[in-house]
Amino acid sequence: MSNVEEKILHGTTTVGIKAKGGIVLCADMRASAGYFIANNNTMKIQKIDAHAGMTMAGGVADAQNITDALRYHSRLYRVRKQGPIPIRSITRLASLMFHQNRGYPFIADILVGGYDADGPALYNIDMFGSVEDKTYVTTGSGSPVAYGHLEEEYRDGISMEDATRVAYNAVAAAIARNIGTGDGINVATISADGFHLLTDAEKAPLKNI
Amino acid sequence: MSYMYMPGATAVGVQFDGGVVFASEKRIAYGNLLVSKSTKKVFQITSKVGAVCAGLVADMQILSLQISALSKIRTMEIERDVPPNTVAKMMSNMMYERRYFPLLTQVIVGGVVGEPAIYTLDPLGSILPDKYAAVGTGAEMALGVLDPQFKDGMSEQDAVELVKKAIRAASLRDTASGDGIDVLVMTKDGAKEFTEPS
Repeated sequence: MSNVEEKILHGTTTVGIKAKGGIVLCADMRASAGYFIANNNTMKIQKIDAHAGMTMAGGVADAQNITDALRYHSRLYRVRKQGPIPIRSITRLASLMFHQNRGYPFIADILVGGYDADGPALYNIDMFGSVEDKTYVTTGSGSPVAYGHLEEEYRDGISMEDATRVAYNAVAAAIARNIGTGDGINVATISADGFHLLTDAEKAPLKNI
Repeated sequence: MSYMYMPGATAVGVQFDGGVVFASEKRIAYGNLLVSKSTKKVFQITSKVGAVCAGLVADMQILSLQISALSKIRTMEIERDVPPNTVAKMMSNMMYERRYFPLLTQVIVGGVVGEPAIYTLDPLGSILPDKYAAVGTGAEMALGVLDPQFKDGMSEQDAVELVKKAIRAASLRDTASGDGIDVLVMTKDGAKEFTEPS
């Protein structure tokens, strides 16, 4: 079994910030197994529905299956109820999935963010199913470094533009000082206009240093 | 104890202009005993999609057999070729189903239905898209060759030479890898398979 666990991918930094008018999700692109870089172009931010997204940290297989389940139920909800699923419902579903596997947990720590009738929402769900409502949060092996940047730069009522830059540079800091983190940065915003993954051109002016 | 039956291996997959090429070495060793010098670790799943594995041989054989059967059924259902992403997802589902008793194999799966594509899967069934990939105990050595020498839109001939170089490098420095190279080339015209000495 330890043989399998060695091959499970670990090491990540993801950041989520609740800003005025939306959510920013940000993550690095490295998938590592121990000291080995298994993939250097990993998409750790996933769109769940038009108004919701998530980030994954931990075992890729577990996180991808949770993503599939959340996406399936969100789309089913949209068809059945003729409207977008509340973000807290996605979060509750993820939490129940984690807790049902309490005995042999899914190795994943996820952020669920989105924009619904109540405005922007951001939650962190850990591998045992605990839910926390967050204004700013980071997960993964590089989170101590990213928190250093966030604690310094985050302020209440932060604009989407500023939050995007803060999130990007928090992950950039983690890349500089955490070896499990690296190979590029993905950024997504979710506002009333929906989910948007930033292009390379949009990301270029974000870097502070 | 189970690691005794967890042989090392090196398997690579590379995308090129118009197809994908897979290669693996042919050695099976349990501990220090060389059990087989002629193991096939490349598999044709359909006429357009192939795979290459590293890990427990029984598991990779069962996986490829079951997925090629499911692919045939799926081909009849959709009345066209099954694309590589579908095959990757079928494998992922089968592997994740056994999360508590995993299939001990890493897989590179790919092919060409429309655009060429390859994916790597870990024993639990995570799917990661790649342009080129290496798995197994010799993956580090193989990537040492692939990383600097891979180029987008290579010719078939260059890609075949590159995968052979990668497997050869791994065979030289990984005791669990060696005894020849199996190559599988998938293009839209079908599959080609051949074997070479390392």
